[in-house]
Amino acid sequence: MNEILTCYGLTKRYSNGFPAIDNITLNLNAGRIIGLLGPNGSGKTTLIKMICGLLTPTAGSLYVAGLPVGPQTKAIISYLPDQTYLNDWMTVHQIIDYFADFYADFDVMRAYEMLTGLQIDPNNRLKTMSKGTREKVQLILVMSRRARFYVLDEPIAGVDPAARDYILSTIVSNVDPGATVLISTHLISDIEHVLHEAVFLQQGRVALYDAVENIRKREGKSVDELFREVYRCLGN
Amino acid sequence: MLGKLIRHEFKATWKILLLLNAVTLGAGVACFFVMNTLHGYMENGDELISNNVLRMLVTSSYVTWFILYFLSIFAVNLGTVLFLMIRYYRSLYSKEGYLTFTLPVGTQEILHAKLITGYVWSIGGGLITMLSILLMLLGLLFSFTPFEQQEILQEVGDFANLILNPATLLLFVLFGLVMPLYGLISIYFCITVGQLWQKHKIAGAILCYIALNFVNRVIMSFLTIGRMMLLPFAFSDDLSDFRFSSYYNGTLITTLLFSVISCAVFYFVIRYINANKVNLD
Repeated sequence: MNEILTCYGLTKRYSNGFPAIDNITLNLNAGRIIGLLGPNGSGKTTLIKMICGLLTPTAGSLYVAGLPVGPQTKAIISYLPDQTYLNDWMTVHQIIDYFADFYADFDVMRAYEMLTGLQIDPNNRLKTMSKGTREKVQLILVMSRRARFYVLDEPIAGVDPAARDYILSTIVSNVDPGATVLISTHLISDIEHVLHEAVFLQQGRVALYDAVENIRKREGKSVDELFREVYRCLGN
Repeated sequence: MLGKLIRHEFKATWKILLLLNAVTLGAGVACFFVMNTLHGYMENGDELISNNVLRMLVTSSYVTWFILYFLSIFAVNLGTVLFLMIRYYRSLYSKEGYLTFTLPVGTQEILHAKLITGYVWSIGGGLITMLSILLMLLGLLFSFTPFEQQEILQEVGDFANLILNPATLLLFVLFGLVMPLYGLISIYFCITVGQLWQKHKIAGAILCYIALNFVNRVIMSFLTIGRMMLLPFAFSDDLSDFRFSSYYNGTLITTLLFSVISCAVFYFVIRYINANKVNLD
């Protein structure tokens, strides 16, 4: 199986009838770093939540590594949501124990190495840390798993450029060969250089899915420039 | 994985809940000594009999202790329920839900872990409360003379014989085992339904709880009072046919059946919502 994600006619309608994801058919190749790109409200987070089992599709089917979404797929997905989701009364040490207990692929040594590198004391409770430090701890936990599929929702939104560099280098340097990374963002210029492929979402539909190199050659412009052009046109 | 979930659930709850149970037990122990001393002093203190001011002071302390004791027991039990409610809501439907629902476990296992942990704490808390009340009552009992103690025990025994038989006792035990589960799962049900609201999840849970209680009261009234009206003696002046145990047993069985069926309905609704309709912000 060379595909990490397979969707057929995937649709998600909310209670108001609005189709956040509208009949998507998409196959993502394993072993690539893929950008999930689109403006706010294009359906990126909804798609990610369905992949991670936090939302149930209204119609269509979704498979991760050939498996329907469930405990088995959750065991191979390392998910970074767009907000802090850790219990703030726990110490970093306790959270590492928690992750190590549930995820067979969690590398404890790697987590402590990254914490040491950032001079974060694992005995500190999360609630005593700044928002930025908490986000770094969360990223460390997610990237300390030797997962087959990393799903990162807006990992660089709302952080300063130096932190963006740290986050991207952490992601790229910790991914094992063969693993897939799906990064959702609208800050394309910051991540374009690490992407192998890009999926453009537009009003809940896939507007474009191709290798970044192909896009550059075919369009004669960067992915960021193309993105700005497409969505500026949409705005007009 | 269920074992791991339960272990982490206990890790997250034991400090607060053990402290609350210790307060209940501590209040019982304190009441044992205070009730014993004050009541004994009121009944037998020569100085107290001749001094009205002192007698009033001791009587008011006695009553105050009694009220404080029951208030503290009520507060501790309410605290336990509130803590379990908050824990359930936060770990499933707030930001922490992003972690809980992406663990490599089934959503039903998450629910089972919450129910088992909450049930163990509820039963444990109930037993500790009973022990605490027993200690308080023993404190009272020991303040009487041995002869009076025998009389009191005799009267309690006679009353128990009048209303209890082995079947009723068994039903009471079953009742004590089922009702904490009913209480717990009904609260979890309301929180789970409440989180379906897009904006006001807590208000939704409270509304659901009020509605559920209203429906529950109506049905229970029908099952208990309505049942009483159907008994042969209901429209007769002659109460000689009235059999306490028969009426209690019937009411307990009806209530138990209703509670068990409700628990099953709540359980399957929560399972369905957690698997298909989780609404994280």
